[in-house]
Amino acid sequence: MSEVIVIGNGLAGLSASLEAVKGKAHVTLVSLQDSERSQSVLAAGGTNAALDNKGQHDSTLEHYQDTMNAGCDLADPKAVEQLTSMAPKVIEWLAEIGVAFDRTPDGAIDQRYFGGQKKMRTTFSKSGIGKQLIAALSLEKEKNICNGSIIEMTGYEFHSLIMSEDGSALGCRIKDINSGEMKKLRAEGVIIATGGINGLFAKTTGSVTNTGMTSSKLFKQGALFGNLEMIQYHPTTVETEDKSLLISEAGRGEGGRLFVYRDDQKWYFMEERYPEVGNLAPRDVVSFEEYKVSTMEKQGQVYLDMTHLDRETIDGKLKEIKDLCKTYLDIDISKAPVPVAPGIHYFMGGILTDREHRTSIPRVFAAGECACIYHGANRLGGNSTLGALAGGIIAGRNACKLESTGDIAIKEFADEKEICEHEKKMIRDILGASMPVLRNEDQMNEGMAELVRLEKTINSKHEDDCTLKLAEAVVISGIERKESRGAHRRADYPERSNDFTNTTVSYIENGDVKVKRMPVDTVFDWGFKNER
Amino acid sequence: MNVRLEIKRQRYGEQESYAEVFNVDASQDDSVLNILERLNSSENLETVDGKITEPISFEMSCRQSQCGGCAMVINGMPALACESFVKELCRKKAELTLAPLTKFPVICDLKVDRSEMHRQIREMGMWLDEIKDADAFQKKHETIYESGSCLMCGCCLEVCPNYYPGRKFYGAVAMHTDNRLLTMENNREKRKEQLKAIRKHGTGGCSKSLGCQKVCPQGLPLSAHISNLYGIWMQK
Repeated sequence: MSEVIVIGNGLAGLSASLEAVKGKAHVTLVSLQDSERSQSVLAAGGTNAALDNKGQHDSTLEHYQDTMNAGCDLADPKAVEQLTSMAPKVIEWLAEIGVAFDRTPDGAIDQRYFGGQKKMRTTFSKSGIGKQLIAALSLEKEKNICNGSIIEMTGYEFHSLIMSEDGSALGCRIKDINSGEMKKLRAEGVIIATGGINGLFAKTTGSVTNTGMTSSKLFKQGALFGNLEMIQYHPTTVETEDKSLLISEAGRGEGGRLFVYRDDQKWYFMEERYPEVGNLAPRDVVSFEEYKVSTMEKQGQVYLDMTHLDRETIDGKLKEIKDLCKTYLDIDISKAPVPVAPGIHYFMGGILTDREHRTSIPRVFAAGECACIYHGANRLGGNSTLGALAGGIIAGRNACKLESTGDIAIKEFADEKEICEHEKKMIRDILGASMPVLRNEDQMNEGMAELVRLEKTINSKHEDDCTLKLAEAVVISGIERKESRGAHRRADYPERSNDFTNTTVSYIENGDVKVKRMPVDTVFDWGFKNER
Repeated sequence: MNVRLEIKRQRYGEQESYAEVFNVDASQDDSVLNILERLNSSENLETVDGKITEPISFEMSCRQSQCGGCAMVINGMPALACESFVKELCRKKAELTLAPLTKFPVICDLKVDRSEMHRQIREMGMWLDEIKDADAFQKKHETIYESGSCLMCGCCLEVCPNYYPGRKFYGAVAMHTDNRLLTMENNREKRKEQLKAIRKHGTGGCSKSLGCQKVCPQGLPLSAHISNLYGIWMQK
């Protein structure tokens, strides 16, 4: 029986664990908090799958095309093909384990419109899909804990991979977040499902537990990362004192309209500029248009208007949005428009994986938002939950097949002191200023110079510089992509260029961050020898 | 405004609790979570008596009422710190008292170990074996959705006059989860097992004070779930 460690108990971690168990593995599921606290519960809009339940002749091919188009050709086509063809099966499985999908009057799983897709393809559960998915998956997890297939270790954080002398992972070290005690876990495979690197930025729509620490450690331990410059700004967020609140795309999916006041009149700029898709253009397009009208054309605040929607829709399909706006903004969405702005929401880039979700470190897999595989330069709404679930399944399926390494020598890893809160804040501020909706070389160079200065302080105090290294990789990836594509918009290179239809691969060599460009469809064959 | 904040604290690994008082500058729009985070971000956390003290331990994740992490006892009532605002709590008096939920073991300060709720689910075998056809429970969709919205924050157990750790009665989480599963479960044997479990740990022990429903941060209609469970039991 193979032993698999899964780090993270959100959607990707749970689906990976359940799949590995089906393949007769024994799983140790490590996480900071209970699944109910994972960032996945914030997923609002839905999960995409071409079920064609709305009589629009939808197909997995169209889902594939929409995903590739939104990703501006930076995702591996074969991986996306696998994802979109798996999607209906994934939904079928979820329905079987009791996910409360909204249904059509005849009992079929209902589907709604979502940005960047011309067919009603997004399955949903009001506007709280993540919570409902986690609720059902958690009960499956409990079943497997009960029969001894899964051991849950909650209240632990990932510390580092245990590496062999020949460079493959033999397990990992984890740390009790309350006592600080370290534990070593040995396993045939390790699946990383720790979510996005939100903690490297100041305000995001995500959870505070997504610190980006696990990704940072893996980066320092030699994993290749991809497309770190691709950071999704969601077009409808509201900044509060401590975070960005997300107003789900479901608001526009159900008919919400974006406008600014121009000469005291409501100007529905998206509908005028994009007559075909209107308010439901892909997120990168809407965010940039908002930035254009409010900042460049100086039309002021952008609003999301849902006041014209009927009571049934607002109380039903948009219940979570209604509650959120009432509690945190004191706005009744049926009476007043919501002031919105682009806010950091999702990281398309991350730990580079191949189609089997293997990372560049043998025996280590990555799935969910921490991985870079399906979303290219921009992710479609409804594809994150799908990518996490399907990715977890693929990673779990592969990890459980690994055979024992036997006894091999362990390479020791130096333990360093974590950097202090003040330095973490500096990193967040620098990254925020370097990587806004519209970027330019000077800004990014300046950010890089500041990071290098900070690095000297950190190194002189012998602190762990792993988050700083990953932050540098984000900025360098941004500098090196000298074009505008998807979420990466540059004032100095406003056009898309065919020279850059490739993956920005970042890694550490002799202590320095390096970036190289690799073709999107061959990068996955490069240097990945997982069967060692 | 200046707020007197009293926190019931307990060090990790110790049994004794003690109170610490802080003077905090808060705005009407501040949530309890904002205040706690601000306190912890100060370089030297100082009590009202000028004593330098350790940062305050508490659980949080989403900061927007969707994860249940920051549930604690605020001015005597269980609630989520992220959605408890100064403007409501300090309307009469500029005072706040924070304590950990009392029905779970304290890990440190305001952080408690809520794994008991998961243990109950496992003990009662609460998962689906074989789901009915969707048509068979479509009218109950709302029930399933509501149960799935439970944050597992533990506020309901805090106010429940019948729930005490170690006793037979398991409280609202076990009951609405069982109701959800019995709505969907098709396998006769599994249904029997779950009905038996809820007979032992649920329905009989509830005195219907409905405090659970009053404090539920999600506003779940728990009384409806509990009576529905009775209904299923009667039809058996």
